Amino acid sequence: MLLRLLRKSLIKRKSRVGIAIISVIMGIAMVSALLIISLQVEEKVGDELSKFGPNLVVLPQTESIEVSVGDVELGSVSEQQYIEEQDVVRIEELKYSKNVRGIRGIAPYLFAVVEVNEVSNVIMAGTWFDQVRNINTWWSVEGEWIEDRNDTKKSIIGITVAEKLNLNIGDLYNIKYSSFIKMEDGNSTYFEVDYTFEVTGILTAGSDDDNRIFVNLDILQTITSKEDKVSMIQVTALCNKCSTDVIAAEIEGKLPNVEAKTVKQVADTQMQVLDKIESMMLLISIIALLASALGVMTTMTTSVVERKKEIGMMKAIGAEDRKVASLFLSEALIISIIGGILGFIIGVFIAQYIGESVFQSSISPNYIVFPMVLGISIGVTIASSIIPIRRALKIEPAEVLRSI
Amino acid sequence: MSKVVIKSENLTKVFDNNTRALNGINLTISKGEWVTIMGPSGSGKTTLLNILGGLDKPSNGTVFVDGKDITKLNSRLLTKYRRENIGFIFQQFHLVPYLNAVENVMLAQYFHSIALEQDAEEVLERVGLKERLTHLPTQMSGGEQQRVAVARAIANEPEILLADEPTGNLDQTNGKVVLDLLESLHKEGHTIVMITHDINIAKRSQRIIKLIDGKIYSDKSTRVKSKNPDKKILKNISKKIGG
Ligand SMILES: Nc1ncnc2c1ncn2[C@@H]1O[C@H](COP(=O)(O)OP(=O)(O)OP(=O)(O)O)[C@@H](O)[C@H]1O
Ligand SMILES: [Mg+2]
Repeated sequence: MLLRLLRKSLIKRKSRVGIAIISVIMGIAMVSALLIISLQVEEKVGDELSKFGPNLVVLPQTESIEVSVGDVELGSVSEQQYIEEQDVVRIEELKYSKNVRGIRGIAPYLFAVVEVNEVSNVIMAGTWFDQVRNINTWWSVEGEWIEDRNDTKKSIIGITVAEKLNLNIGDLYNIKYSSFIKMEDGNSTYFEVDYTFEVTGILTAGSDDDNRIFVNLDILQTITSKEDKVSMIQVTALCNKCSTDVIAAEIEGKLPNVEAKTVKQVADTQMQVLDKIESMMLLISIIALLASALGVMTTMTTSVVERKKEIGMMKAIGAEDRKVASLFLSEALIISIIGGILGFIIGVFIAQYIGESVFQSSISPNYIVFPMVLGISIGVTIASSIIPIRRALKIEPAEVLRSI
Repeated sequence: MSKVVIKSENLTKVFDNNTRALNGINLTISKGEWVTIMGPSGSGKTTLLNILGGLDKPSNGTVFVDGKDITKLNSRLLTKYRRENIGFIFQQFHLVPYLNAVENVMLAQYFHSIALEQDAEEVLERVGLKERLTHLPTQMSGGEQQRVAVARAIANEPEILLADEPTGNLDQTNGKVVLDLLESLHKEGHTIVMITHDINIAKRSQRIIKLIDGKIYSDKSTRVKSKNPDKKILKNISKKIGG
């Protein structure tokens, strides 16, 4: 009966209900667009940001790292010259920080100077390729990337190295690593390691990286007997209310033995613009939702006033408050569901438009947004129906039925 | 003497604007009685009916229905009382305009318990509207609309029917149809309290209570004449004489 009653009453008052639905649609469309964009923002901006490479570099606190000194023995090789590999995990925890919107990549590097094919000294870098790929998106690798962090044979060599040593994809080459290792008794012992790698990829980076050889972090740590040690960590973090410096400070606070340097400030400006766009959209959404609420409230109030006699009669013949309220609540529910669905569809288009004009790329709707906005739609509509419904419940049947 | 259904004692109603609409009404209505309330405009008829029907509360006095004082009920229980004990028939019909005849009757069933279309159709059949089941109020004559309203009032088999000028908006023919309907309901044993201004309509009930200024001015059985034939004869004689 309730459904029948609702259907008839909604059809009868099409235009009023239509206005309420339209006001819900407008608000929900804005909110949908905002949510769709925010959910994709990390990715979109991350992509933009990656064009600039890492924005943070984490170094051990001491100045001298092996890279800059070559294979010259250092008098006192202190542990502090390296960062512990487990610090990567600590840095990853930053993603829960309120200053950080998201982390695109964290790539640890261990550098060592090796002699290749007994002729040339080259800097060899051990790293995680899956992370490097996220950070140095412009790297162009001919051949194949190294997908498995545990691979011990593959290497990607910089184009300059390839040319100088006349190495091609598929070639094997020997490296020799020599160093002093500090023994437990305090003395240092000289040791040498020979190893063979295969060229699986040739890198063109347009930077110093072209002069390097890249292998998995693990194998280089083993070769150099520097288990769990890294020389440097590159981080691409998206900041919130941006200043990357804040994140740098946070890293230093977390890890006392490191120095975090901000590299690129370009991205900060980008993120700031994004923050502004987002807060503007949030504001617009709130205003749009308020307008929706007002629209629904007005429609519902008009509906109650118009149907005063009807409500009075219902109460006179014994309708409980619960049943009278459910009549209007169901009406609100229907309005909110229709408005929510249509609003979401329109929101997808708005998001698309904004995506194209702001990011110059299309935005694919994230369907998680749908249940979210439907919830918002139902919540706002029901909430704004409460006052009109209370008004309906206050109607005195004797009074309204008396007046002709 | 049959069972007392309604008993009011010293019923007084003073509205906020100090209008004394009812002033000490003592009234007893038995089960199955058909009572008419008459009186000039503003004499308190509607106010009395509203209080008996649980739509309003008196300023003073009590109303016992089936031995229970309804003036002590809170609004939730009063709603329940109306739902279960009273069938209202209004001068303005107050049908829901976008619902057809069956649905208007089902509405009362829905508020009472559950709406059953077949039962609603049967009730409409009882009031002679078998052919008008799916008509909207606007597609029916006033008499038909009022019969739908009567069907709605009796849909849940209430003990008491309260009708405030049920024929007030109807022409004579339609008014008669509705009255015939009330008469048959009376014969089925319903207790009916009805307000009218029309003495001819009032005469069809058993008992006429006349209110003036919120007080009972007279309370007479309409059958009194047949018990006292002499007066009737006298009247007829005087007519013939032309006196
Ligand atoms: N809600 C109210 N507030 C103030 N005064 C009221 C209210 N309802 C009724 N009255 C007054 O109470 C008195 C009795 O009203 P009531 O409606 O009972 O009269 P009635 O006998 O039904 O008259 P009618 O024949 O015109 O319908 C009138 O003077 C009326 O103005
Ligand atoms: Mg009246």
